Amino acid sequence: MAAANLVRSAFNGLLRKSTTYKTPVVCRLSTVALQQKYHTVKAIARTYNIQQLQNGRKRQFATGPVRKITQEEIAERVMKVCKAYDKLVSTQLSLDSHFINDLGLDSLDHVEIIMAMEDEFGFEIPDSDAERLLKPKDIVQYVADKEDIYE
Amino acid sequence: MASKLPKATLNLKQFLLRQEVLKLYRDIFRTIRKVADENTRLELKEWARSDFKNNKHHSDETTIKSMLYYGRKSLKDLQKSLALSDS
Repeated sequence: MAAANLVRSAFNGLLRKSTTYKTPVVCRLSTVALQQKYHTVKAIARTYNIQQLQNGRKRQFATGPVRKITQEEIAERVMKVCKAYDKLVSTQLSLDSHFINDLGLDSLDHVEIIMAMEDEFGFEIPDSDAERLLKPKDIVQYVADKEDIYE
Repeated sequence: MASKLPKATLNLKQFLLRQEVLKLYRDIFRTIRKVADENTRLELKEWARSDFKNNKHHSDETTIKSMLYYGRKSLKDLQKSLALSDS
């Protein structure tokens, strides 16, 4: 639908009103200009179709991220944020290391780390959820649930 | 009868106070995020952090409450000046 609208708006006023977009109708512009317009629109439609195929022909309501984020990527980003936190630079941390018990942080540091995660992933984490996220593994799981990743 | 809870467990009042403190800490950081200037942001963060850390050791309820009051007042001031600078 959106592709058809794109095409329609691109060709607005140039073509005779036609319901199908696959075949450009003869118009007043020179054929060169028409061909250029047609090729750009075709390219847009092609990428849109590829997108649709990748998402399994799911209807897209809003312009969200084009490709789905994977669990490994989430884990990577979580570890990156943890490593960038100044109190954790020298320690060795894994997905299972407990912030308070293993890494020696306190609850204030925990709040800071959760806020850094909020900044990284772009959504707010309420207090009630935040206090349960005590290991990087928990955070990865939480973000994955939020983004609806089923693996 | 001996209590079965571990020694470090807080009673309800202490637990609630602790949650208040953490909530205040979080609100302060959320407000600091809105500050436009990077250097000011870092300064404010360091100020908040050190203030909280220096007063971490208090166990007396009244002291904690007065610290909370001071913290909330500072947060309100920060929010007011942010609102002024935005308009």
